[in-house]
Amino acid sequence: MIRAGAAVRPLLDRGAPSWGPSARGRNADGAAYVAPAMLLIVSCLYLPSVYAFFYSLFDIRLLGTTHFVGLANYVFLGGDPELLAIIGRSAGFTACAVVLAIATALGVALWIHTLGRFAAMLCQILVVVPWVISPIVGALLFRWVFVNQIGLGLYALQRLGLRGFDPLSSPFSGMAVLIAFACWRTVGFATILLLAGLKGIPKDFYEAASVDGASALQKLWSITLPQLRTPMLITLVILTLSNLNTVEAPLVVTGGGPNLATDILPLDLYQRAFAQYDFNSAVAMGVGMFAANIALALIYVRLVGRNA
Amino acid sequence: MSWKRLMTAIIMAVILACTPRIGWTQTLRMWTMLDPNGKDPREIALKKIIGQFEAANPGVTITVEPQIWDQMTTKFLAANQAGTAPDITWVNVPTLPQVVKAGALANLDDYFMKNWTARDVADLDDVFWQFSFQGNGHYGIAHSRAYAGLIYRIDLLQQAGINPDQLRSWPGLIAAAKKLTVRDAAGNVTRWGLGQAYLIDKPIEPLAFSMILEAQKHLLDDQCRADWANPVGLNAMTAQLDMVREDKITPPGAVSLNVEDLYDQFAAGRAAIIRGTSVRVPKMIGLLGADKVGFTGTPSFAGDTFSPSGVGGWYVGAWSKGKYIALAAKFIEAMSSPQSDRIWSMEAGAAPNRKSTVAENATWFAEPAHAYLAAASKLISGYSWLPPKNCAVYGWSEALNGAAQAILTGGAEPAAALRRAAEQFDRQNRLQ
Amino acid sequence: MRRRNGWRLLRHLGMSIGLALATVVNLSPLVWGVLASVRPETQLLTYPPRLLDFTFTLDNYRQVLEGAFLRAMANTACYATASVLIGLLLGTLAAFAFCRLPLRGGAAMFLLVVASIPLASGAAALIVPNYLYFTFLGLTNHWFTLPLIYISSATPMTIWIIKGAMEAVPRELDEAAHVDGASRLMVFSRIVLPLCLPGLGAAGLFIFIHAWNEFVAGSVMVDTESLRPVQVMVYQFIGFFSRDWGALTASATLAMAPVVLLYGLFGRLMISGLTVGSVKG
Repeated sequence: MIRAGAAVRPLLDRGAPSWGPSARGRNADGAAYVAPAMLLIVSCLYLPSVYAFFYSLFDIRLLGTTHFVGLANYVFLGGDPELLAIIGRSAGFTACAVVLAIATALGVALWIHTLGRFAAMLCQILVVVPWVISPIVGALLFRWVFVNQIGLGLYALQRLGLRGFDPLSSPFSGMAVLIAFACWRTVGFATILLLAGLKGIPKDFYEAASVDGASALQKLWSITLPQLRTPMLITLVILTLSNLNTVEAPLVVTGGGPNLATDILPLDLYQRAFAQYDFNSAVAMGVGMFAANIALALIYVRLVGRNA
Repeated sequence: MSWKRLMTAIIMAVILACTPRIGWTQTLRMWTMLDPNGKDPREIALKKIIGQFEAANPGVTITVEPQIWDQMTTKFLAANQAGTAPDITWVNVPTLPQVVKAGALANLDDYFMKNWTARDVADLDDVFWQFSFQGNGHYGIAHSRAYAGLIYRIDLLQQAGINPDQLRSWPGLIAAAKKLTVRDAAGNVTRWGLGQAYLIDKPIEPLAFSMILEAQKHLLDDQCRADWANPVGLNAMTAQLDMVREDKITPPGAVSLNVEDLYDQFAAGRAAIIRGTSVRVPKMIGLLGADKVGFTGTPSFAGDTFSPSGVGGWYVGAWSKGKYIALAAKFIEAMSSPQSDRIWSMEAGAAPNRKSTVAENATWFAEPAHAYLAAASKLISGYSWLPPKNCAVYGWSEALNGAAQAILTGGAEPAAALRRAAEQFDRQNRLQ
Repeated sequence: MRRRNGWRLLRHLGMSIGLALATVVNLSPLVWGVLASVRPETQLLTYPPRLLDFTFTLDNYRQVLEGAFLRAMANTACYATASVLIGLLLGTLAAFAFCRLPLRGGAAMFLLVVASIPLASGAAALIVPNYLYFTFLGLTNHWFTLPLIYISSATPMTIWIIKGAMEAVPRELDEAAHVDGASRLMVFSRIVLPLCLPGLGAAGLFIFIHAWNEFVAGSVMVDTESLRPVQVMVYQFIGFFSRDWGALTASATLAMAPVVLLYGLFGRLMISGLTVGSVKG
């Protein structure tokens, strides 16, 4: 805890203001500012999760806490022969989707950065629209246009001569479609965040570099990327959490297929809860996923602490 | 001064608004996927039936809270634990044993069913009725029944000179589908003869399911475990997948289709016959016209009859901890009465629940536009399958589809794939 | 010199074509959705697919608006606005405290805040125990249920974003104001807050979109139809008996419109908002 605190301290301003009432009064005041938010976070986010963990220690086949079984649900979940494969697929999917989305977003943001005000505004709206549409409908429409046999995408490909192409025919292409959907959905938001960061980099940095004779690539590497560290981090966190927990992507776009190629953790959890009515392993998996999510978030914060 | 008065007035108003009204009416809550204020024929039917009940029982109000259908049963189970469940609820048919085990539903035998005569019971006695008997009584009456059969294009069959009766045998179906599969000049298929879907989300019972049931009459053993990893299952799965590999009447893309895609393709004319449920036929008729859409059962190897197929639907039951169980049971009886059944089937296009409805309105049901309803009713009575009572198991269709995907896409050895599917099924249902 | 210009022209041309293609691909599902919503369904499920060859009709929109959809939109507008206002209030106060005020255990508390971000976004995974928890507290199926859930799940991210914005405001301003006799609250509201207005805009937009698109809590945590948010009403068209593509796309387009509009109006805020303070890290 102390070490974590040390990591976070750079985020907090060092040194108390030299003004204000006595030290004890100061602390009390700070507490009053923070109290409502912390109360909300603890009571509406943490406590339900603690309850969920407690709940997972019971036999909840009928959704009631009938009798205490300790970690039996987790043991059962761990014994699932498919579990490792599912976790591996989730990790692979999330990593690919996040990296691809951020790389694309960076490129798009760099380009929008060079545009005039009106064009930039228009492009930003166009780019962020997939993020703001209702998630399930967005997935349905994506599937219809790019995957569906009677959709525009395949029809266009047919007219161009590429017949008999089925995007979900092989496990590899199925995962590619899923990653493509995840990128489609998240690139817009990532672009906005990175663009915000770009606009904050003072122009004199670049001018100084030009004077020194740096090329565009060198400027990108030595100035832009380091300055974008924090927006990158925020984007990384948001995108990772979004992709790690997305249900509508595998459910609607690929249906978990073909042959389980796109069966990732959130889809598996959904199936356990709503198709198999197996609440024991569903809640155990949910708690496990939460723990993994929190661990990831804390790792990210540690990275910030180290790099600040 | 006036500030304080204003605040007091506001607080009083809020308190008054939030206080529950104490009146002489008894209000029952009902959870269903239908919205009585909606425009769908079933929703209009529900509103009519509720209206009739409220008129016959002054002082009673039924408030419908529409829910999302694929969450409804889970939410009801949770609400049962939390004490906030509605008085009347619709639960998905296969979940009944689990819901009853949770003690969430009232035993309807204690209410109106003890007043029923043998003739009343016989009118409703079928696979749904028998399944609703869980241990010591009946816990629900099934509505919005669905039967998994074949939906076919009447006009396309006529054009190809195929008699629908030919679809009663597997060789007949395969031959018909081959005729109906149309290829363009370059050899690509523009219309598939037989559409199937092998994805795992909300699947429909695959063809192999019916083949297995025809051959060995059961899918699960007496401990509710999967019983398809045997020569019967192997034959069935091979026959089903040969439709893709050998007969080429079903696209290989079936491994990535779900049932919704099938309906879209059927409506778009990309498939002449599909494996679909009767509950979607009204929508197909709406899109294509009653003269183009037909519904029939699953073929058999015997050739002159249908093989058993899967059914679905919703049991309407009363919450065991509700305040007005007797009234709730009374409403369930009212909504399942012969008069209501006429409204459900003849006005709303749902499959009739009672044999008497079909018998007494034979001419109406004989009309071509209503043929699918009579067909569904007959098929449910004679050729359907639900798990043995008290088997709270799920996922047989998912398991068989998973095996199909493993064999077609993953190149798995069929017997091994079926065995794997059976093990997975047993494991997830805690039967190992 | 001329050769370099030629290269530049070619590169620009290539990039423009590439970008045009990317835009088409990016927007085609949405364009298809809008085009699908203005035609009868019989002209939608066809093969080959018809892009522009259809009869324009607003029947789908009429069908959607005849139901409880408008009330759901109004509900969600209320929920989202309340979430933004209260979320910003709580978030700014907390961020100010983390940023400027000495706080015992402040580092640990901030860690708690950041660690709770995933608890919000992964809410669907544990919806059943969450439902039981909130019902036990008597918090479900009320007019404040959904705002409460939206605010609490958006607060962690809000605090993070605003804290970043506040850190960019120089401390000298605070001290100068104090020398002039300002209380801490006045420093907060008169000095610091106005300078992070862009950050507030960013956080506010984030909260609004999060509340507007949220589906799972909206369907599980409330029972009565009069409290339903807009996404649940959109989902109703994916029914047990049919999937009404026409009504589905119409309702989704209607549900999308306010957010796009808001983004168009306040998007600029978001850009400059995440700028200030983002750089410092």
